[in-house]
Amino acid sequence: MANIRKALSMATCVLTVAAVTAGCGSTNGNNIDSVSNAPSPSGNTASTDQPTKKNMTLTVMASQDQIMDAEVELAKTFEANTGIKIDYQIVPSDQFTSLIGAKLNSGEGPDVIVTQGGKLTLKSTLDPEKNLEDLSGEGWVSTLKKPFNEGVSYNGKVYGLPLWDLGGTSSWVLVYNKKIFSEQGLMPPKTYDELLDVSAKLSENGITPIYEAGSDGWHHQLPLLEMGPRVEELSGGLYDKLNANETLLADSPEMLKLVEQVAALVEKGYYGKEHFSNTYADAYNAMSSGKFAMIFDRSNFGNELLANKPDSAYKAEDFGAVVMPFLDNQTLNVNPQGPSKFVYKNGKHVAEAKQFLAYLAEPSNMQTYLDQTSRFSELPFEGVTPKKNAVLEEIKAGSNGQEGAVLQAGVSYIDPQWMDIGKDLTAVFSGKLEPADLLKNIDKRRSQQATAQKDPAWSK
Amino acid sequence: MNIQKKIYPAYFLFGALLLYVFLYVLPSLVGMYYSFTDWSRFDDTVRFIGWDNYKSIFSSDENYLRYIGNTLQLTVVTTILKTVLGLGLALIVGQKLWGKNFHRAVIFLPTVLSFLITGLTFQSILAPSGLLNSFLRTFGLDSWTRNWLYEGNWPFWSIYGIDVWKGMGYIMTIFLAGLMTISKDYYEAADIDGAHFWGKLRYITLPLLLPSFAVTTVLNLVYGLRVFDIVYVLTQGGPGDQTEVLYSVIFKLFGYGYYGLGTALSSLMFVIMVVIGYFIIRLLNKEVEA
Repeated sequence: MANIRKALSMATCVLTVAAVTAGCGSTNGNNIDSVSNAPSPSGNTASTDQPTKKNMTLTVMASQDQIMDAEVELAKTFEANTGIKIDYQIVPSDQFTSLIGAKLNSGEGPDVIVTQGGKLTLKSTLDPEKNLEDLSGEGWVSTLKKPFNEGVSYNGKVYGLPLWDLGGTSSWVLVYNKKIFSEQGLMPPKTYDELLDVSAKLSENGITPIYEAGSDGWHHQLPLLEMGPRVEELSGGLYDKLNANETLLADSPEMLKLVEQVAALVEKGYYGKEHFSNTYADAYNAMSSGKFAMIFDRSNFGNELLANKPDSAYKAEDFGAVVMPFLDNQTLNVNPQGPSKFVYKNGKHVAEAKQFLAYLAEPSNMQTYLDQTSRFSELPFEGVTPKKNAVLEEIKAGSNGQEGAVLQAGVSYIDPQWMDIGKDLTAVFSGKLEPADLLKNIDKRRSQQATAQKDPAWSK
Repeated sequence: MNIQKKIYPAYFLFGALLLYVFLYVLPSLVGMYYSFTDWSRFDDTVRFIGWDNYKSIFSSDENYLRYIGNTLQLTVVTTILKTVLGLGLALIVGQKLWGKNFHRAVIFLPTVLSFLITGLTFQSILAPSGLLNSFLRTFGLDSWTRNWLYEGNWPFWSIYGIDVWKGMGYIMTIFLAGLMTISKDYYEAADIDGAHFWGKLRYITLPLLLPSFAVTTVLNLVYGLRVFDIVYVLTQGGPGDQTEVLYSVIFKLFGYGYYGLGTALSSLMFVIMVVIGYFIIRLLNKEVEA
């Protein structure tokens, strides 16, 4: 009996563990917010000849902050015209990368994926040839401007629709409240020391210098990656050497200094006490409260704030911007890649997904989308009239007039680890990781990705 | 035994055995095989690479051993706390108490909440300006306030605390069921002999609750070793990788597309769970038999 009991115990144990391990293989969607659009009685007529299927739902999965209200409105009209319902599944930014990766790897991708494009990124994040529908034959592709087509292309084929402002308006800059600066007798900083001086003065007077949305996981690492052009200027050819695996980020004194400069702002309390739990969604409230003087954001921040808080005491013109002054930077950081829409080729509704993208890419719809989106000034397509961005002109006039590609656009295997870099930087902020170790971790993850992808530069 | 053999011929087992082999044993063995390959989503060719994945896991350049340590630490701490608190609560609400069913329901309630809701709620409670710090400030305990999810070792203790709060109600119900099976005669006899509370607990309640201990310990251990949800929702393994546990790392590795390495970690976990589970069940069964 004892032996039987032992055998039964062992079998029960193995069975339990096996069930648990087997369960690990399947990944469920983890949608925090799902928006299903109700039919709209009015709207434009979809000018597509492709067949439509009534009463079906397309799933669009996107990270937080990557679906504009204007698109949701267009989706409603699309549904009214075609009967195809668009189900937006919005995933918190810090969970999106692992979730979409796990979904694609288990063959359960959504019909449309909205995520960051990038010629150095697509292979790592979406593996286009395996997962994405080739959109090269779509009508809108011919209107996509160069070089922005590169960010959604892989091996000569176009896979994505970059419905995003990829111009200077989308550059992450240092936005400041002109009224507060004027009241405090301050000038916008042009060097890192000036940023420290300005911050010290603001702190002394009870104003938190910088609003930092530390809890979302994607925002607080912006200065590190967006200052790539300055690091490139100072180091001379760092991007090429990194891509050729001839050097490491950890070996770059400029990168180390950059991490230390960002961390010093936290150490000195210039992000405030709450930065770990601040959310990006609350940025408009925070900046309109007058309690914060600066934020790392885009040049259209004033317009966005007004669109989100029409009753704000500060108006759009009260917000100016300069390039981020880390490492005494005066070059405008630009990113020719951005959130784009991709069709999952193993999905059940590929034709309808392409039809939806074609609808969004109709010139009149793109114009509506641009006009109604305060964050954007232009779209990377021919036939769409851009909006004037006075703040961007101010930034360009105040800087050295040069532009440079951000780190994630110029260096391979950076973008896919964006959220991991954010977690490491949080650890630096909370004193659990040294700045040098943060750079070593980035190098290690780059090496892992390159090795897995059999990158020739890493197999030398 | 002979009679039983006649009634239940051995081939009656085959159906169940077949399902068990195909649904559980075979996938596990296939998983074991893949753990010795460089399988990734970037390459259709799967090459046998021997122990390379395991070497990476045990390499001093990597942090996987620390993640295993985190998982084991969480398992041990939460198992002890849930058992002690679950038993304590079962002893309290097992008494003749006013509104005891209400108390039982309230304690059990967190168990049925989803981890997502629990995690998001506690993120807000533990935020620097959240409910907990506001509560402490109200009582003048400003020096006790901190950033619970980022400072020092508090991220770990925040996870442990929430996990124990959520899970102890379930453990309590198992102990309650166990307590109900103990005949009141023992306690009456002990009362007549003048036994005090601790004596009754030591010599009657605890020995007779051993089967319940066996169940709760195995449940807690298996849960602790495969913990994922609460860590993922609350800290994402951060700050940095401080609170990373095995399954959060496996999830991340699968997200990146490193299947071979992910499977190696899963297989290692499988072995750890089999070994720990086997010995715990054996130990507790021995105690019960004794």
